[in-house]
Amino acid sequence: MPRPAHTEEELRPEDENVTEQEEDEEEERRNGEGDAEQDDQDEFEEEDVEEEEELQDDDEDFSTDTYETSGNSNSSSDVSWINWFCTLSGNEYFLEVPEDFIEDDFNLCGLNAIVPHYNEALDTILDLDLDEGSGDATDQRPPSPPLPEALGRSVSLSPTPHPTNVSSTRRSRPTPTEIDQSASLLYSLVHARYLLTKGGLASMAERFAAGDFGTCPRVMCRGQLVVPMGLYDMPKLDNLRYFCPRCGDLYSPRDKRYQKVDGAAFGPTFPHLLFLTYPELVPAQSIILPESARKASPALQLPSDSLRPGVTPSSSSTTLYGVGVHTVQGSDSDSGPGRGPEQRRDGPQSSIGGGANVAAGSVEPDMQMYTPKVFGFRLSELARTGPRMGWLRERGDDLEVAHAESAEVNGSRALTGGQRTHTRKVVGGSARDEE
Amino acid sequence: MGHQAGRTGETSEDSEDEPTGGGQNMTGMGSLINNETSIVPGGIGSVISSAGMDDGGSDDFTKYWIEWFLSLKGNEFFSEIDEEYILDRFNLTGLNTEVTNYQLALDLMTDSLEEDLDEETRAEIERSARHLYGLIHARYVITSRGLAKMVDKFRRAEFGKCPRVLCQQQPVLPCGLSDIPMENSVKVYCPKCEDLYHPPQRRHATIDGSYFGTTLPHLLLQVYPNLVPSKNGERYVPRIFGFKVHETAKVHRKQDQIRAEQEKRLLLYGVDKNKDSPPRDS
Repeated sequence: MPRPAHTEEELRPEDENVTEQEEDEEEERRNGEGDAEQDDQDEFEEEDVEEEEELQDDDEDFSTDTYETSGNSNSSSDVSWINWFCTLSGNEYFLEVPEDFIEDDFNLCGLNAIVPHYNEALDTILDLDLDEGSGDATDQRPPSPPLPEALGRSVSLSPTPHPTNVSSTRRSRPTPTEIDQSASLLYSLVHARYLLTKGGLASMAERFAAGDFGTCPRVMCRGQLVVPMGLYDMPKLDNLRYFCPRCGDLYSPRDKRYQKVDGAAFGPTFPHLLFLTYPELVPAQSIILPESARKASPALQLPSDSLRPGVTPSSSSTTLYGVGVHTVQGSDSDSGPGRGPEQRRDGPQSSIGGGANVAAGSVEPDMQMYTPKVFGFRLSELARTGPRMGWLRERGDDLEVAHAESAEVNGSRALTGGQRTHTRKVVGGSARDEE
Repeated sequence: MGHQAGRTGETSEDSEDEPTGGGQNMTGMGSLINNETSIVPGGIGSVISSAGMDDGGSDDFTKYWIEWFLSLKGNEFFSEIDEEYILDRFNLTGLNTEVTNYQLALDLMTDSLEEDLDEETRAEIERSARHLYGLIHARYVITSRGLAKMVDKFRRAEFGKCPRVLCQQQPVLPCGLSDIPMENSVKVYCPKCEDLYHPPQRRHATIDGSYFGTTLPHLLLQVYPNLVPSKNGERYVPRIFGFKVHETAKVHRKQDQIRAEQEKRLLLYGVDKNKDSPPRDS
């Protein structure tokens, strides 16, 4: 790391010992050594003994070893690590994070505490350290000198990932497998951050509209496109999940290769930020962003959003934000069989069910919800096994009036109760019980 | 043993015990195979056809047709129908109008078909037999014996698990969207979230939903109420940087209200609410 240590000390006096160590380490690296004798103290990874030995045998081959084990990524130098990583099986959902995003230390703030062998991982991702030993690589590292002076802000905010990590991991040479794992982990975490940026959201919006992520397994969602997400920000807690913007629920991927992807690579925030940023991507009968809400706020309204019944606003082109997103309607054909016609079927059905002048949002609820029936008869709510989860898919459009902002807590109970008895008959399950 | 496996196309080369073989069986096999190919488009069919041709010598027809049918890949959802049930004509009332070649298909299914048919007819009969089996299956699975068999499969999660994350791997039940054949493929019903999903395996998406019917999961749970899972009432709450999303939170409040009203009603009628979750706070 060609990072002047004195600036670190000035800026972060509490890191003194760290920076000292870093200085030492830096020295070591400048001399082209600084590796290979201690055993790995890292508790994150299982170490591969054979590889360790092999590594110690021929140390100068270290870098090439790394890249060979990581799948010949750099045998041809025109394929970047990021590019290669995104084509791995299971990683098809990943975006290619621009290198300048990764090179900005501000964007990596705090990740060094999570990722073991942070420096090596970062170098791997950025395709540094290719041919020479690690010592040369630090000098040759081209744009990395966003030096602390230049990026005073980032340094002051972040504990400058490189140095601290150097102290903890530099003294032992990690095995190529470990570095590879660390690189994957680091990339996942950077990826989760990148997704929340403007560029990341735009790319994901495009891919979502193109149907890259598959469709919702729920039958009543009628092949609604989904987006990947994770339940946690921290890695290794949970794998990838799908968020369906129509039913607002989470689903597990049924494809095995996606079941191994870490959910932290996408994060819990991403889908909701995406659909708030691009409300035109939200389907018509969505539970997460009701039609009324979209109409209410002019900021969210689309120019072409004429909202006739039966016309999904998602069919409108989303060039408003300059994304150049394909129309969702157009992508129906490749997104899933029968989605297009079935969604169009919602239109007439809604007008049959609720009268001709239904608002676009209030499609007949039966279309959204599955009604259990035995020999054609609905199950009584009073049965022991009767329906109990109807509320889960209920959007409560008819409660809108009662919930007029301030009165929603107390005063509206009676009113809503009356309204419910009306709607129950439509919703199903309990029409009889009301009498 | 070897015959059956040969038909499924798994062990294609074990042609060790073929005493007679014979061209008749050979052609029969071929027609079966062709039929398979026509029904299952894509790789499976072609694999089976090639495998079947390889060991065409085996006299497969000594095996039960139903057994063979159930062992086909993609037919895991079906349960075995008792022979007596099929042989009781009362149970088949009205099916003769639904199925072409009804009598022959029935004969094939019950392994009493004489084997002097040309390949094309046999393929047709085979198709009819599958259809007939499906239709009988829809009736059989809502009998007490059929339900018991489905419960076994349900307990072993042979129909898959609910894809919804908060259902936590709840086993599901097959369910049709319509009782009329050729309308929809089979879906799976999750008793926990009471919703319908596409089957987890794509090969099951080609099964006709009417072969299971709209009634099966609900009747099954009615008959075996102890199988109804506890409905914990969990719900995914979207959050942006840890904060709830306004619109969704509004919808959730409405949902809570609907739910509270339902619980009030249930209390009023004194319905046993043990199965229900405790009252939720938002």
